[in-house]
Amino acid sequence: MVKKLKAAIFTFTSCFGCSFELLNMKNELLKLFDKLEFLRFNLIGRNKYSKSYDIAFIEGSISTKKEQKKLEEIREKAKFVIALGSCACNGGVNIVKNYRKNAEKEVYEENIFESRNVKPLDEFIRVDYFVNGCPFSHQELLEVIDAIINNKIFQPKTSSVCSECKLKLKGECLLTKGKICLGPITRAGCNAICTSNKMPCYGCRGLAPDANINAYIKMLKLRFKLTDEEIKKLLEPYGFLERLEVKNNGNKDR
Amino acid sequence: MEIKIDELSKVEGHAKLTVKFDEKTRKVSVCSLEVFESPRYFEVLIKGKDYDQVPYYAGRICGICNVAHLIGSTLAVENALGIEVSEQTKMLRELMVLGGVIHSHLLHMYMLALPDLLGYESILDMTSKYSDLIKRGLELKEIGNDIVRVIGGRPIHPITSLVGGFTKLPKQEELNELIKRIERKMPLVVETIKMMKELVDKSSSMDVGEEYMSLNHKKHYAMLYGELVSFSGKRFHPKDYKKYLTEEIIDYSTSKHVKLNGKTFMVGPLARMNIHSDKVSYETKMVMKEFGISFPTNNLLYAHVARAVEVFEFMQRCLDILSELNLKNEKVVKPKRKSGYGVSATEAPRGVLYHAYRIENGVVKDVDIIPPTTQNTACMEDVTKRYIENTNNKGKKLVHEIEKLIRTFDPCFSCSAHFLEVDFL
Repeated sequence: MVKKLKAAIFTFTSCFGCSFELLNMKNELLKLFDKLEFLRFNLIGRNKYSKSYDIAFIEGSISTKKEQKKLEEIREKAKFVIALGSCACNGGVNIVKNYRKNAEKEVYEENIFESRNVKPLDEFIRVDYFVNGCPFSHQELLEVIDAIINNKIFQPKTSSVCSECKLKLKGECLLTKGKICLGPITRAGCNAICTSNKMPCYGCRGLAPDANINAYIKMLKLRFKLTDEEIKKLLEPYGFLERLEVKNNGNKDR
Repeated sequence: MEIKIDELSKVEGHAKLTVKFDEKTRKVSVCSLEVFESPRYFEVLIKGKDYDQVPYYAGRICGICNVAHLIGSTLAVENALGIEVSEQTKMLRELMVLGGVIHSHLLHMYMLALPDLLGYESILDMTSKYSDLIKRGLELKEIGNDIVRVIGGRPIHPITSLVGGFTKLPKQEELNELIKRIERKMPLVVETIKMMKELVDKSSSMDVGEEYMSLNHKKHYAMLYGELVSFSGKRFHPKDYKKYLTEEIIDYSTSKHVKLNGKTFMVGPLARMNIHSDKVSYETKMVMKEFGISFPTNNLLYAHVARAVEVFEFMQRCLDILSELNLKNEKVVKPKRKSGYGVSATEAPRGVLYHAYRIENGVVKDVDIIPPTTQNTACMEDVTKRYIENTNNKGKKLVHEIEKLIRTFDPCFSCSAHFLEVDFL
């Protein structure tokens, strides 16, 4: 019998949805339990101490000093770190908070939590694999685990959601129907699940490396008459704005 | 005496419990369940967004009750902007909400509560002896997911639901297939009710308190529409929630307490059953009679039984709606006005959920969200306190029993988004 890999799941600032999504993997989940021994899966009551892990699945973004410290400890102990879901990969919807001044004061009267700007995992540690999506894509996670177990290469998609959407919607582009859709600049790999349900893309998988963002912004201005302020609001979640600001300001300390 | 546990597991999210008591007299001086760490500032995230984007963000408050937040926020926005949706939209939404509750209840019963009731640490330890039971749980849980998937496009953070309607409707064949799948699973749900009743009857009972609150509707077991009713007979309209519910800031805890006219109360499946078990369907009444289940009861552990009975009731209700549906393409309803204030009270898996929004010129200006677990926190503390004062259990056994009690509430700390650590001082 092949020795099972030691796995652990850690949750930071998030909705826990990716933990639940793991439990939604049905037959794939049972197969996963065959290959991986979960030493830590708090949601279902597993909390075994271990000096090291083969795979650490991490959901959630980092929003406190305490979380950062814990994340760095996990990195020390884990052979592979998988960022699971949008919050971990690109800051998710949590990152919108970074653009609201005095967020802490508004909710809690003072900043008692020492909450700082929300950041994705790779701002602090080296991440081996990114499994994007809100929630993550099953197919991609299985591909990543397959790559780890069988020593294969996992090639993340670099094209945009449009490349997958065109095959599914067959030309019924939501943008041409007057709906603002982030498909053209969002990383593919979701099989266009939202747009094929006629819902415009919100960009949960983050900026696609191949995206022509300047052309996209120009299109928003010309076609939808959006102001700079409106475009900014649109690009707040999932780290788009964060990445753009870095692009424009060079090595700005994030 | 000082006992310390780092993390309470098998709950959604993280919080911290601190208990101080005199070992001789068992008198509890401090008992506080603090929900803290990694606040996500959803009120702030949503503020400034356009009205039609609210449900997208609100749904992401929680991974397990996401449908409840999605639909609850949608209803509040529609209430604010005078949007009246069609009967068909209402029916599809009810299906989604029920699917979400069915999934959440079954996940809690089989994966989180069962290990406690059978004396295991985790479901992962039960795989060799109880593999059939685990498979049954996973299979049943899938029904809830299937319902949300068929209507909403996917089970977690569904896609198709909008303010004013749906982007896309399911196909009639999909609905027919869903009916068949639900019908096939009904016998397994009856088995589940029987199992939970037997397991709970074997455990010692635990008094929960005397005040409960739920949504109430004249005709049926209310989940989406109705007024708020308490066990002791208080009634109010959702829009008046601020007059009746008081938020108390506690000096030892960063989590606020919600009280009803200054008194602790419980929301959730046990509260719903205690308040309106007479409104369940004939079939559900027959099943309850068969296993000798009756409500009201003050036994906290009957929350497990209430969950099982609700799954049966909700699957029946889904079958009724599904056979009644005759899908027609409809346009998404546009707002009547651009500004307004709106409130919704709905039943999430864990109890009453309030969403309130003030919108100006289509943009959100103010947000208030009260999830069920926030309302249950004071009650959880009371139960813990009473348990310690009435037991002779010590050390690890005591800690374990307290954890079990808190888990019976099925708390969802991720709704306020946080880690649960337990400190005993």
